[in-house]
Amino acid sequence: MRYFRHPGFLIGVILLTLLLIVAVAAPWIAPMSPLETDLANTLAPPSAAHLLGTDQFGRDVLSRLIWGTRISLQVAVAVMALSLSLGMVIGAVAGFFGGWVERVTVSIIDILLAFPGFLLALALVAARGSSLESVIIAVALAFTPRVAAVMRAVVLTIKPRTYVEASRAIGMGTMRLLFLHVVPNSLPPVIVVATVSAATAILAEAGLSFLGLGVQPPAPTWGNVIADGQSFLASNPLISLSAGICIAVMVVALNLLGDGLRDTLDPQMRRSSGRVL
Amino acid sequence: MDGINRKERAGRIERSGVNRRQFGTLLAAGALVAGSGWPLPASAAPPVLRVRIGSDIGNLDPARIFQIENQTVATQIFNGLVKYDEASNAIVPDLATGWDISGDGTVYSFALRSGVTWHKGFGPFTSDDVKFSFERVLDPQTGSSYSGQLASIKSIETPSPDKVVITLKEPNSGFLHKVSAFNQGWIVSRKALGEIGDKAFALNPIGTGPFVFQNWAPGREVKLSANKDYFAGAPKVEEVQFRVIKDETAAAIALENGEIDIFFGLQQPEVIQRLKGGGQVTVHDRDANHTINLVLNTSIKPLGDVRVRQAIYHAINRKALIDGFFKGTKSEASGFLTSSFQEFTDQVPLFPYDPAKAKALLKEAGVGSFSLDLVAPGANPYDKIVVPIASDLAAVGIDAKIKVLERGAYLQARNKGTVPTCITGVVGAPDPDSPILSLFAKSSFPPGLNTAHYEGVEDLIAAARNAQGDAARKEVYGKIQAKVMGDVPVIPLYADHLYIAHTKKVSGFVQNSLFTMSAYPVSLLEA
Repeated sequence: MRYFRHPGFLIGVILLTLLLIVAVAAPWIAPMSPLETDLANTLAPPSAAHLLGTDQFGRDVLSRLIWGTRISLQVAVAVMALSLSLGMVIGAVAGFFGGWVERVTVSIIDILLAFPGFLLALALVAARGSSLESVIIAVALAFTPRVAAVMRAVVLTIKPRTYVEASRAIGMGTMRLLFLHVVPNSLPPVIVVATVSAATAILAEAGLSFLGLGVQPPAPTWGNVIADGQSFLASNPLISLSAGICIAVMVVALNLLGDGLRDTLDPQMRRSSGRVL
Repeated sequence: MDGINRKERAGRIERSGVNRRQFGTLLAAGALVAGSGWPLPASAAPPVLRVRIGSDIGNLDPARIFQIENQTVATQIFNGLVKYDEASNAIVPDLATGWDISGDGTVYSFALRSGVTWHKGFGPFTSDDVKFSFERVLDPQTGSSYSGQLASIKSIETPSPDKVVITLKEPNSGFLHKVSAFNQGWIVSRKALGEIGDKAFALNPIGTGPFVFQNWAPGREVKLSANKDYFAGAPKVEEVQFRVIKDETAAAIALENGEIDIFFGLQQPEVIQRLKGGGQVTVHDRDANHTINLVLNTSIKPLGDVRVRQAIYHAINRKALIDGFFKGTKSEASGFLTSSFQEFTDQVPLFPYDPAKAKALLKEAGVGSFSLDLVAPGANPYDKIVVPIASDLAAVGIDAKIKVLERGAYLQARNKGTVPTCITGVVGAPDPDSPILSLFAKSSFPPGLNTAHYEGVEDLIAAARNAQGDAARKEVYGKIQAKVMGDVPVIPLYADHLYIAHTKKVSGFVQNSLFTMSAYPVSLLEA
């Protein structure tokens, strides 16, 4: 398998698999409930009972991080699925049909791309009210123009290819042509973009939660854990730090995976060396 | 080489040109100051008192004022007919030098201080301004949230510029509280409001107080200057700056570094402990006149059942909240009044922490597990205290969901009265009517503060108004407290405790129990 000869890809896959296992098995491996407070034991230093200590409400930080993996992965997968499907359809239609459809779509994409993605997500969450669903929708909508722009660019390079022309010449219908030849062949670069945006989505969720606009406390998300620990950075730095490390690991894993996918899947974007590490 | 040198020289000449111009401006300014006969400071800059506030001001109009930051700034600017003595909470003269109450308790005549002038040349203060101020609050067009406080007024007469006579519809033993220097009790100038305009007055306030409003830099600071003509004598500092520093840790560091002199609105237990332990600064603390309550909306199922409300009361471990979360920086509350009220009684039904009893009560009420939104404003510590409460409620089978709303959205939701719960404290004077009328009277149904939709003490409220004499008042207010606390429209979570810290440079500071502070008695020692 050529994928597994790529060390970055391999590391990314291993890390993500581990995180996935943690997320799925959270109810069994978390030592305590992530919501149960113990006001007699607040801001405790790490001990055998609380490996990462407790927060200001006496909740076990490790348990909150383990449960937080679930929400982060949920956001990553949902954002990826949503922005991928929406962006691909918009980009493919714009690139394949051309004409005024393309001009209008490209203008809208360009306008949306002019906004920083996070700001767009912030505005959408503020308008919809904060909850897990709004965060997913907001971040997905913020990333959709990026996916659509890439998709359109790829479709434009595929459209004039001989096999597309040939299929058209033998009388294949437009829709069949689009979904049988054009879309499958433009997948690799788009998947790479989507993987990297999944990493950005996790950062966006953490950022929104930190600002109090994301998933509502007391839900255990990494962003919330950082926000909770913020006031105690001087006395109990481990709370925010450990959540920060979780986010970093997840984002690095997704980026390694994205890099690996790019190097192996996409000949156009492949680096000259073919190696990441 | 040569070329570079020349360029550098040219740059220097240019720079010195700017300097010369600046120097010229300085000279001109100096000449102006000298010409106007102002004494130039001999050595250091004039004493400026720098006070930290936790969030920005928005409206200083006494008819519409809200929030402690606004009230604290307004405290420096306005006076009332009477005021609370900062240390003892006794009602003492302010703009009125004395008052007479008629035998039947319905006519209050105030003798006013003469020679008092409004800030910024708005002329002398007269009895007409008093009449104007109170009638403005009562006018429905003003839309004042405090009109209810003055509702017992029948008429206001001004027989002479230094005398005002207020006639009440019926005796009201607590009337002096209503005209004390706080919120609706602050007197405004008829002339100033006419010239400045109703809306613009909010941030161009004209008062008679020890400090004059100068300017407001949104999100940054509010500047007040000393009123040299203040009737009780000029303040000891030239200027007061209220600086907005949101983060308490940052404010604590600023205080320790001497960048601010007074840390107002000190809340975070860890910061309080740190400042107390450091020994570099002085930390004052005092019981406030309010409790922080979890309001239960009795118009929403299943909170309509008193047993469910009592069960929630039993389920919450309030002692753990005070000891664990607040690190003992707040006090336990037995009822919705604090012990700082003269009418306070601890003879009320109590519902100590007892999850087993809570479960039994829920079972008795025939309520299985149900879901309950805990609605809190997005401000420390209210958005935090709901977390352990939710955990406590989960332990007795109530699925409590935390809904933290940004301040504006929170007020809107609360005013609609459709929220099942909310967190409310009635901050202010030691006037028992203030929390009772706000939280439990039918007249305060939403958009008022009676989010509980409670109407169990209407008859007792009427009786309280007519109670004359301290003993009679104490008895009827005791009955109100006992009835309310048995019906549990609100759960008092804790009695608030106020903390203010200042540097060793600050002298003469007196902490009040109103959740404000006065800069007037403060002087700054040379470092």
